[in-house]
Amino acid sequence: MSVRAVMGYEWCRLWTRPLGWVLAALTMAGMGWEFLLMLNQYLALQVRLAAAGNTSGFTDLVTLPWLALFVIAAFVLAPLLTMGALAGERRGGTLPLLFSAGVSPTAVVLGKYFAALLWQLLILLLLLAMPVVLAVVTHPDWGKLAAAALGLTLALAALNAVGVACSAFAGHPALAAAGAFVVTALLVGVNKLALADGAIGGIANWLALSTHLQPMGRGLVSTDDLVWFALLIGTALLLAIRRVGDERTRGG
Amino acid sequence: MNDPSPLLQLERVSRRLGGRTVVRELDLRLARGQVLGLLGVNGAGKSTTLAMMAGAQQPDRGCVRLQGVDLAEQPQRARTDIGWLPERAPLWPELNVIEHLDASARLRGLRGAAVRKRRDALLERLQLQREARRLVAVLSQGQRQRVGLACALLHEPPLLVLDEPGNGLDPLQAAQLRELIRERAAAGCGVVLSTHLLPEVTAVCDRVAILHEGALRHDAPLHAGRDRLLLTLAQSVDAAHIAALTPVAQVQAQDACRYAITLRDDADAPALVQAAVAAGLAVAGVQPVAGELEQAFMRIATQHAASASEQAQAA
Repeated sequence: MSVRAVMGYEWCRLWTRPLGWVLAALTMAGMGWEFLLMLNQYLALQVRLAAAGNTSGFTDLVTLPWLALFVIAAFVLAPLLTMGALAGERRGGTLPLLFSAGVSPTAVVLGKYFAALLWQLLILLLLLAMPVVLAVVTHPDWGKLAAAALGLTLALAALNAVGVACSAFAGHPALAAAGAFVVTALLVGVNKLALADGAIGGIANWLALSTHLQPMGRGLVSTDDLVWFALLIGTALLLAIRRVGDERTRGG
Repeated sequence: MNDPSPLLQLERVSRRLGGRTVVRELDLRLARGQVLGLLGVNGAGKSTTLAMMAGAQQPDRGCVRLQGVDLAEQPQRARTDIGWLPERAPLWPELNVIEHLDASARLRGLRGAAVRKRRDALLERLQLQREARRLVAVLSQGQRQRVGLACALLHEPPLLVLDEPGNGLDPLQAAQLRELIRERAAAGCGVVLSTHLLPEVTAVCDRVAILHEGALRHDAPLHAGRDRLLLTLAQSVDAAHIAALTPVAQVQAQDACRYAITLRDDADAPALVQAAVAAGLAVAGVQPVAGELEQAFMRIATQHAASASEQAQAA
């Protein structure tokens, strides 16, 4: 009940703040433009590819590479949309209001997390509508598309959890955003050195976001990847709940 | 004080913040229908005490009981039973007034037509109808204060905790606030009020507690300090003559011609003068006595300044 109530008012705040709309509009415009460019290239090369015996179709050559671009957008969206979730409340002195309303730290964190995630999932849903409407004239590979959509959903869920955790620890929304950018960069770049040395396995590779996201972008969903996302989301949210709980007990 | 089942009870409550003990071994009780004024110099621990009463912070030691239940064990009790207006009324600036009140109600698990009706009644009572659709971010301090007060009253809690509720209010609004507090107290609600304005305390509170360096230094009913007048006569008379006057409840001779008088509940200064003149007494003047409250507060504040000065010298 409290999670829904917190989510409701956080959603209301996202709805009324220009930041959410601006980011959504920029993402939609940028992704829409890229989709048109990639689709045009595909149409231009379609006949030559068929002649060369290349069996890759619209999903492999347009939809999946195009959806991979959304991950880059998500690196920016998630930190910016979650930075004020708890740091903003703390700065405005409104966090104690939630405590005095009997709202538990878990409900505060989850309510804010789900509100920000829902906003970004709606953006993803609108983006997915672009390749889906082309099903009228082409034959998408629904399995690959679903796996890629699942991967992006999990990536958004993980990046938002990191953003909320950074917001729980930061005193200012800008610091929270900076912290989330750094953690995201670490998640992306943790295996770069290992890859440069030619190491394919190892802990560094297992820790990297790309190791678990790229297979889903190719239509492969494995338990190992799902566990990685669940661990990251769970750890980040637990840290945030713990921090907010401490704030209530110790007064920040 | 001896209410067997107080609405609110603080039992040896202590709280440290930033390595400093802000509230120490605090014992307080509040009965239903009582208005308690919490006073103290800046940094005395009032706001922390109020935050603990409101369930927004937990004590390090001791417990805060609301209707006999420890708030640390059942923090959900705060949801329905406490209305809290913190200092400077922190609000969500992105929401308009109605959205803010609705969000506040939903956080407390309240929905439906009854809540909307109550919300509209509060908007009217606190003169916020014209601001109802305006964003909280653009409201004046007084308007924000009234929105905060509406949030605290929306769920009709049995305990109201108000930290500097008169901030930013004009004199008319401040008088309406006092009336509202008295109304809630008459309806059986307990009110804890922190303010620096002593006239506000004497006008609305039944009891006053004064904190100093986090400890309780004064806790007494306010009746003794209310309606006390200093009657000055042109001649010396026996105090018994004055005690016999109808408006007088109690009299205490200050010197040969001056008498500190406590009036009956239904009496006022003109009635006292009228009765004294009718009894043949030559009245030279009537003025309010500097109340025990002010004296107590000043004494404690002076001690504070003296001890701070001594500490500075020692350092």
